[in-house]
This record gives sequence, structure tokens and C-alpha cells, in this order.
Amino acid sequence: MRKKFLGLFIFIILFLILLCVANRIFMFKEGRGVSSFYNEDKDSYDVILAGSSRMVFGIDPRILKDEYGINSYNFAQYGQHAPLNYYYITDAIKTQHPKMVVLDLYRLDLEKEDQTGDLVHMHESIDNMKWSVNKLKAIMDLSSVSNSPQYFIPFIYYHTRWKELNKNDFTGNDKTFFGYRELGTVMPYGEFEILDEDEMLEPSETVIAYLDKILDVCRKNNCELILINLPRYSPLEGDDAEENDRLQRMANGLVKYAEDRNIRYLNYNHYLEEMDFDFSADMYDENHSNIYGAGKQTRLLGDYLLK
Amino acid sequence: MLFNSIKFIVLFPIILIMYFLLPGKIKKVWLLICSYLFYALWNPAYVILLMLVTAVTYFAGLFIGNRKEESYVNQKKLAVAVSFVINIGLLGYFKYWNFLVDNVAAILTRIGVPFSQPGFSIVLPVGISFYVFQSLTYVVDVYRNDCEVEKNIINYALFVSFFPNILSGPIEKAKHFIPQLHEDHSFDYDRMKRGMLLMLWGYFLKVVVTDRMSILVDSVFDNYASYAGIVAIAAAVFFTLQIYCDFASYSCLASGIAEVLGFELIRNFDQPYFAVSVADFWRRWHISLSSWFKEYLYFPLGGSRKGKIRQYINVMIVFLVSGLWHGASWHFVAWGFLNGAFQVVGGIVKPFKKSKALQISGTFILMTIAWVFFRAQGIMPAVLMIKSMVTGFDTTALTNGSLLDLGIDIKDYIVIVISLIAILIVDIVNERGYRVRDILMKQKIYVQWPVYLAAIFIVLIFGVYGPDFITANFLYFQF
Repeated sequence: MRKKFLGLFIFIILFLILLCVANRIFMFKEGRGVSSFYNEDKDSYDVILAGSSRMVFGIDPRILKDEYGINSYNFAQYGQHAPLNYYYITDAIKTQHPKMVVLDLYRLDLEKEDQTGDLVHMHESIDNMKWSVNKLKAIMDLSSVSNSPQYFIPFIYYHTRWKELNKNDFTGNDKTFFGYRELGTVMPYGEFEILDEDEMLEPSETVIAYLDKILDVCRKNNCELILINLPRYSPLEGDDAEENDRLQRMANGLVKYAEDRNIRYLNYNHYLEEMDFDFSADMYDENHSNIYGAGKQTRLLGDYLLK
Repeated sequence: MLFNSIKFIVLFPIILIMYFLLPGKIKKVWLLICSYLFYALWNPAYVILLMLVTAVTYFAGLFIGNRKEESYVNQKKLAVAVSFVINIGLLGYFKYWNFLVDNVAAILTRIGVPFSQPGFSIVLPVGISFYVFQSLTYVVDVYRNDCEVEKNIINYALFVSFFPNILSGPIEKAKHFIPQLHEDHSFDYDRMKRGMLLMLWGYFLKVVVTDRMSILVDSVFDNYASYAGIVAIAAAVFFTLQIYCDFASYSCLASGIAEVLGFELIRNFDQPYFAVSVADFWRRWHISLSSWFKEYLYFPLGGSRKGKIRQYINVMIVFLVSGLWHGASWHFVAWGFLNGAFQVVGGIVKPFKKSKALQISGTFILMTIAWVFFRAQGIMPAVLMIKSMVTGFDTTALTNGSLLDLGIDIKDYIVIVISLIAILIVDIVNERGYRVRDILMKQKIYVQWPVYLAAIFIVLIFGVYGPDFITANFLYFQF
């Protein structure tokens, strides 16, 4: 009987190993910059760049290093909202002890209380985190008991990708540069109209709570939190114009928060001329800058950080 | 809680470990607690109904068992009758009340009598058709001296509520199951392995095959007016295969779970689509229900002992009742009628004697027609759908992509076809008297392990489950 149980034990171990391998193959590969971050040497980055996809495509750590001598890692993840920003920053501070954390606000959706985000982005964020107490807290915080198994065994979610697997899923190369991902295409947009700074949205209690948690973890670790709002294009007319206004109001809504807590806040909307930002050449789509835009955004940040 | 839910897959190992760690008598108390919790998760209020059915049949059994002498025969008959009236009455009330009211209302409205429907509607207690029938076998078996009276209420309550089969069978017979409650159920590694292999096959049938086929079937049957010809035929054939895989998967899971726990449930399917006639089909399909009707309805009606005409009438009665048992709706009655009629006509004209392949194909076609009535939302939709198969027949549907516009793509079709070939091979092996599990377990470890791992990963990868899908109910839950 003992032999049989030993066999069963080995079988279960073998199964679990294969499940991990299958999980790696089936996972989305876009978020690999994040999982690569965990392989970096401890205390090798002074600045951590956090946020959502706009940060992933928006700030290039190579420029910060080459032109400003700042060692940074773009530890942002697609579609990430405030709660996961907090858990990511906690993870980053734990291993890198950076001097600064730069957080892009776009995905905070300030006025909304529900900050969990959609399933795809939840998985992209949580599944790329390294297993730790912090990750467990993130799962418990952001999913119900009945929904949580898919985060412990992400294959439950990813298995449906069997129809779309390609070569890259098997090689799984990290196509990012310190977490930054290049977008080469140019989408030419027209005029951009800035709203008055007085027009603002009140941040929701959830957003305030998580921003305070982020600030708290930063300050406890002698790390400065800097908020930024990267440019986003929206047409002046039509349904999207409203969204543009909303996002600008959202960005303005954080001014008071930052002032009250003595946090530096770089709202790119007010530096477009200074950095020579051109919506006809610097955007990949309405939400994301291409490599040209990213270069300009990174240089403005570099100047700002060295102030 | 469904067997194909993550909740069950997480809880089952805990149930199992506790079960094998507990001493003999406590094991059954533990199983009873689990069974009641399992049932309560569907609708806690209906646990009272389960208790009532258990109490009525338990005391009826005691009453009959304590009166062995011939002089008590009338009292014993009365006890059987009372337990039947109460149990079938409960089943009738919970399952057929809405049906009865709707029909009375329709008739009265037609003849111009005003009728206001009662302002409540009854929710069907899940599994009621199964556990009511199962508990009645006990009363009859004790009455017929086929089964010892079970004095231990824990044992008896477990027989009625045993969680592997309470929701969708197999409908156990007291004389088969109750003696097993007195056996030793200590841990047996090989038995557990056999049970788990059967469960794995059940999961394959359910999440890889059935839930994928149901996408196409639901698309067509739920919008039958939009489809005709080959698409409608494909949906009918798919449903014929889907209901087999679905119900067989539940039976495999129930039997597999029971086997792991040390119990043997009645084999519910015996390669039904290899049947050479509709009568043969019913000897192979849902065997536990067919044999219930045979033992507790067909034989008491006289079976085939009172001449051919009476036999045919009895067959028709059994299948009309069976249709109604499957659902309180006229299209189920029509389905039962067709199954009975096919057998009567088959008995009169005698089946084809030309070739077995022809007989099997003919039976499959007849069953496919009958299943259309089963799956459709009414008799008229079923008739219209069958009509459209003929009138709208057009081979261009094979090339114009119509079949790829039904919720599943070419890759899904490939998975379905390969899976059906695997099922066919397993059924051929079973038909020849072998069991794939037995063959596998005799192999060396380097053959067994890759097969098991491959099977597990086929289910995990190709299964229709996860947060993008709603865990699909088993079709027979509604009965």
C-alpha cells in the first residue's frame, strides 16, 4: 500500500509540474515584462514606473538611463486599476527599495467605486505576480471566494486559448525593454482642446483609499510617490469628446489630492507645448503613445525627476 | 452543487479524506451529512420533502417487515398503497401541478368558462423523480421479501439521499443498494483508482463533448424556425448524441464517485446506440429507469402474459407514463408515445432481418426523430422542425458555411468528431464484454501514466468550463 501511495504522490507531483508548464504556455504573453521584473537583481532600480498600458507604452527606461542616468523599470500592467497598482508597488518596493515610484493615473477611473477591472486585465495583472503573501492578499481583496480558484489555478481561465496558440506561446520571449513596450505605428489625430483646470471629478472613496495605501507603503520605505497623467487624444466632437472631458476632469481631480498630501503631480496635459507633443505623429491610438510620443514623454519625466 | 463545478472538485477530496479517516459506523453518518448538505445547496427548504419521503417509506418498510405472516397481507398491501399514494402524490403535486392547472385553464377557456389561475407556481425540487422512485423500490422489495427491512434510520436515509445519485440516478433498487450499506467500506486503493477513472471518463463526456455539442443544439432548437434541411438534421443528430453523452456522463460520475466510496451503482447504459430495435434500445438506455418501470409497472399490469394486444397496451401505458415522468409537458408525452409506438409497430411487423448495421441505423434514425420531440419546446415546434428537415433539404448548407454559424467553429467540430470516435471505440470495447478501465489497469506504469495524464489534460484543455462559461447543468436534472 505504501508503494501505491508513493506512486500516487509522484503522479500528483508530475501532474502539477505539467499543469504549471501548460499554464505558462497558455498564459497571455503580453505581460511578460512584469514577470521578468521578478528575475532582476535586488535593489537595482531607483525608479519604478507603475500604472496601466499607457505607462507600459509611454515611458522608456532606456532613455531615462542613457540620457538622465536614472535606473528605472516599467512595472506597469495592462488595464490596471488602483488596487492592483497598490499590490504591484508593494511588490516592487519589497525587492527594489526604489527612491521614487511614478504612477500614471489613467486607469484609476476616479469617480468609480468598483476598481476591480475586467477579467482579462485582472488575470494579466494577478497571474504575472510572483507568489507571495502580497499576491494572496490581492486575490482575497479583489475576488470572491467562488471566483478565486481561477487565480490559484489560472489554467481554468487560460485553457480556452487552445484555438489561438502560436509559436510565441511556446517560446514566450519577453519583448519588452525593462517593461517598456514599443509601438511603432502612427495614428494621426487632429486638434486637442484642454479643459479648464477648475473642471474636475471628485475621486471615489475606493480610489482615495488605495492611493493612500500606496502613499503609505511608499513613505514607510522612504520612497517618493509621484503621480503623472500621460496624454490621451480624444476627438473634439462626438461621443468620445465626452470621454476626453471626463478623463481631463479626472486628471484635474487629483490636483487637490496631491496638494493635500504634498505629492508631486505631473499632468502632461499642461506640458504638451513644452515637450512639443504632436497628436498627428506621436500617438499609436487614442489611449497610447507610439515610440515617438514615448520618447517625448520620457524626456519630460526625466527632466521632472531631476528637478 | 454540480459534479462539474469547481466547488465540488475542491470539496470532494475533503469529503473523501474524512470518510476514510472516520471509523466504520461514523462513515455513514458523515456520508448522510454530506448528502443532505449536497441536496440543501440546491434548495434548503426541499430537504424537508426529502425527509418526508424518507420517513414515509422507512415506516412503511418497518410496518411491512414486522408483519411476516400471511394473515397480514391486506395490511401490508395497504402500507404499500399508502406509501405509493403519498410519494406519487408529492411527486404529482410538485412536478405536475402547474401542468394540470395550465391544461385545465386551457380546456375551460376553450369552452368559455372563466378560470383564474392560482397566483403561485411550484418550483420543481431537483431529483424528486429519482428519489421518490428509488424509495418506493424499498417498500415494494420489502413487501415482496426481496429485501430485508432496514431498521437503522441512518442507513435508510442514506439509501434515499446518497449524494452521488440523488439528483439524476441511477435509480437504485433497495435490494441492490441496502445490503451494501452493511459491508465494510474501508479504503481500497484499486477501487478508488477504478472509480476515479470512471469519473474522468464522465468529465470528458460532459465538459469536452456534451457542453460543446449543446452550443450548436441550443442555437438551432431555440430558433428552430430559422433553420431547415441539413442544419436541422445536424442539430437533431447532435442532440441524439448529446443526450447520450450528457446522461452517460452523469451516470459515470455518480457510479465513479460511489465506487470511490465503496458502493456499486446499477449500470445505467449499455451502448444504447448499438441497439437493433427500439425495444432493444430501452434495454440499454437509462437501464435503472427502464427496469423500474418493468418491475413496478409493466409486470404488475400483466406484462406480456395476457396476450399480444394487452402487451402492446401495457407497453404504451409504460411509455406514456415514462414520457410524463421525464417532464410535465405534452411534448414529453409525445416522445413517450413515439417510443411506445415504435416498439408496438416493431413487434407487429418484426424488425428487419437483413443486416445488423441496417437495424442499428434504423433504430438510430427512429430515436433521433423521437429525441426531436424530447428536446423541442413543444409538439408543434418538433413537427415543424422535422418537416423543415425534408422540405428545406439543400446540400449547399454543407458548403456555404451554415454549419459554422451555429456557435462552434471548425476546431470545435474537429474536437467533437475525434471525441465521438473515441466514444465509439470505447462502446465497441464495452460491447465485446471488456472494460477499458480494466484493460488500462493491467498495463505497466509507463503505459498507464501517460494515458491518464493525457486524458486529464484533454479534459482540462478542451473542456467547456471556466469563468467565460456558466457551469452547464446536466440535462436529466430537470426530470
